[in-house]
Amino acid sequence: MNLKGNISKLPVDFYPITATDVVRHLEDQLGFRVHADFSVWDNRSPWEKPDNRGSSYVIMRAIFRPQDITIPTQSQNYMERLVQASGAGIQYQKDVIEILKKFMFPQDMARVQNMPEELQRLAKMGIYGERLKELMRRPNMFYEPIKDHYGCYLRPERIIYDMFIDTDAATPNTMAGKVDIVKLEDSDQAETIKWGVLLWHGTVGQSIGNYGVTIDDVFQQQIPR
Amino acid sequence: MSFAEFCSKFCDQVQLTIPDVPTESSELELDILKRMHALIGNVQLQKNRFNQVPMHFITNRLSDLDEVRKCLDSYHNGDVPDELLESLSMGLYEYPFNSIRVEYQNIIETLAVYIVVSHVRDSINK
Repeated sequence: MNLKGNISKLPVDFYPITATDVVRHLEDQLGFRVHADFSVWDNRSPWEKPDNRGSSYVIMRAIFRPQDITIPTQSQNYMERLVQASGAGIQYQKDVIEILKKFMFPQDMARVQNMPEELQRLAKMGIYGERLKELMRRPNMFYEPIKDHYGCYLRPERIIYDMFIDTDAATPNTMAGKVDIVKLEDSDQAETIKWGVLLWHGTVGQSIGNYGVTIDDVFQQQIPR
Repeated sequence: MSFAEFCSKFCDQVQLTIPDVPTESSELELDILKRMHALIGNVQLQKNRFNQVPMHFITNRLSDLDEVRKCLDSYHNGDVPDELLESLSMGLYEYPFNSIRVEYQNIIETLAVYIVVSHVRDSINK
């Protein structure tokens, strides 16, 4: 094959990441088994064609056994035991929470109510109405006393980005390149949700030429996409 | 297999004593130093959970023992520098290498070998 344009190929790798890969990576980070499921929140209106997915967001729910995430306390005091059984006064394992925090929604999620632009951006992704309310209600870890389990909502895209950290880089938490999640294949079964991820090596999107000014100095706005 | 288990299998489980390391100046190569600081940053959150978590990116790189031996042979008179062991121990656990228990020493030794092997492999591929 010979291309008419004098262009060189950018080194880019394609990685299909499944929901199982995401859960496995989370389990590797935490060191214990996690029970999780995924749902696709699409922003498609009812009158749109079924194949027009628009942009969709995948939400991940995870549940944990109390012994995995809390510090065991065996109080002799009846009242204290009662308080602990209701989920209050629980001490979480600091390391576990530190790891989970990276993948959780912002603690101050409710603030977006006063940020119309952010609300619009989230709505475009399929996060609006009851879905948004649920995230604002439960941005943290929560306890379900009847089932005696802990749960939280997680951001699978954050877990995917974490998978692409270059462990040979000179500084910690450096990405192996520019990571783009370009494709989402969803299905009826949460386990078969699949993301298509591009990993670009080297510099991408650099402006060409050297006039002593940056492109942004001349164009005040970015090209709308 | 948890990372701690891997380390105890990878090392000989013998309590080591290394000579005093001068603290004023470092004799480690810059690339080794950078890799060490990055590695400490990358495993910091897991350091108290090494008996639970796997560390695939480390164990995969050390899985080929012939290659590990080859890399070590070609570096620093075939040995992991004492300063690397001491600096890793201080950086991760905040205790001198000689004062930590053998299972923690095994972890530090494995991390040090990983750094050296990565360094040698990348310098060959450059």
